[in-house]
Amino acid sequence: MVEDPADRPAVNSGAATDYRDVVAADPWARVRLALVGLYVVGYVVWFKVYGLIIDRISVLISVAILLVLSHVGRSLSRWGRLAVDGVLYSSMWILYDQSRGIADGLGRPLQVESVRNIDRFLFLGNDPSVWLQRHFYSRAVVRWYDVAGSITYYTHFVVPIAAIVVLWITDRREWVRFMRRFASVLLIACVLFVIVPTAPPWMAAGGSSQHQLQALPALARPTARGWFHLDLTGFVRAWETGLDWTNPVAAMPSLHASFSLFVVVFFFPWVRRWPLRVAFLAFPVAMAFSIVYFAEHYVADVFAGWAIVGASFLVWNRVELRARSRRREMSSAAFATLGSRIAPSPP
Amino acid sequence: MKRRRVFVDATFVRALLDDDVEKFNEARTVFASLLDEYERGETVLYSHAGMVAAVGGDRTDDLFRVCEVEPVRRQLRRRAWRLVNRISGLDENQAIALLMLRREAIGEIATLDPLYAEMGVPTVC
Repeated sequence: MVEDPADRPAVNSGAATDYRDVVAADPWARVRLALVGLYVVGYVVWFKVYGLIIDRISVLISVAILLVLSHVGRSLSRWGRLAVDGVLYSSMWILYDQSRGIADGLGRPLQVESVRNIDRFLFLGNDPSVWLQRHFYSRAVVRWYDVAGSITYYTHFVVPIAAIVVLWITDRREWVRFMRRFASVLLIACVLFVIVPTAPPWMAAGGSSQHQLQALPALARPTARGWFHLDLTGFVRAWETGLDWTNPVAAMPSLHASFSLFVVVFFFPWVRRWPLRVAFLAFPVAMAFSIVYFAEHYVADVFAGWAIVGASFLVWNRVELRARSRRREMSSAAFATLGSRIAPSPP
Repeated sequence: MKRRRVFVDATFVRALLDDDVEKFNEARTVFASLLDEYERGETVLYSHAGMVAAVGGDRTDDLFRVCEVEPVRRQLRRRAWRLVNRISGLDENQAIALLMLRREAIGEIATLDPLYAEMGVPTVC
């Protein structure tokens, strides 16, 4: 039973009392913490046995369970707000999946050589994926960077969602800021997926049975081998199942590149220590290296992904600044005009 | 970025409106600084509907436009009254403010009411 501070004995005078002694921070906070702790343990066990929760509906259900647990004991108004937020959040992902899925069926020509040519222009005639695999990839040996690359690649399915959920639970104001920018990135990405369906390097190198392409020399797609090396096969099974329902030509821009940079840009002001800041900044760079090395994306896809993140932050930062300036002006104007009319103070 | 969280009390707003109040100039300086921080997105200002009503008059909503104003719902009022019944000299608005300070992890309060400082709440004016 959670103690209600109102059930404690009366205090004679507020003057000698610290407010933290009489107003509990939240009597349900420990219950919620314990429930969230149990959830995390359950999630880790699930991950080890079945692999990563990766399909959209399962992710939404797992997020919903966590949010419900983290709202135990909260007011009805908080529950109502959570329900509205949850509907909007789910709608965003479902719309994203639907539009991403139909993007390659709208008759737009598949981009094969145009994006490859941008990479060749940027790298003086070289194909970065081809160059990286020639210099670093070995079919016979799994090296440390294969494992690091696999781990980095799959953080895409965990890190943004974890950031969203943590913000949702701890600070809804920041969650709203995050989601405005995040939804904008998804929207722009979906539009681009429709306009420029793009064959990723592994497909351009003839890796698809659906599209017989030979725009690049043969490339491996060793994205999951780091996980096999770690014996986390369940994880890979979940991802390979996911490949059946994703749109393989939704490659421009790279959302792997977008999300990794997005999280870093959003949380960077929170990070004070320089070693941590450097590690933080290394994350999107490591992601870019991984997706190009694994032949999942061109460097041009990476730059496009980063560009839409930059655009989203620039626009929303400006919009929010203007909104705050407008409220400040309204408040200041009201003080200026009311100054002589409301005084004096009541006794 | 960890944003500064400041609760805006009715006594502080009234002081800003009344140049006869002893701390009028100090309140104006503090408020100007808070507004600068607010505009830069470094500070979040909070209040509750009871404080807005306590100030009274025309365009009160505009006065509090920069604040996140918490509506006083039945559950919050009920909790506030439990606190009022426990602590002598506390009124409903003060109790709601204390509850908000604790629940929303608001670190400071802009006020001319001495009660908050006596109860260990860091004040900015």
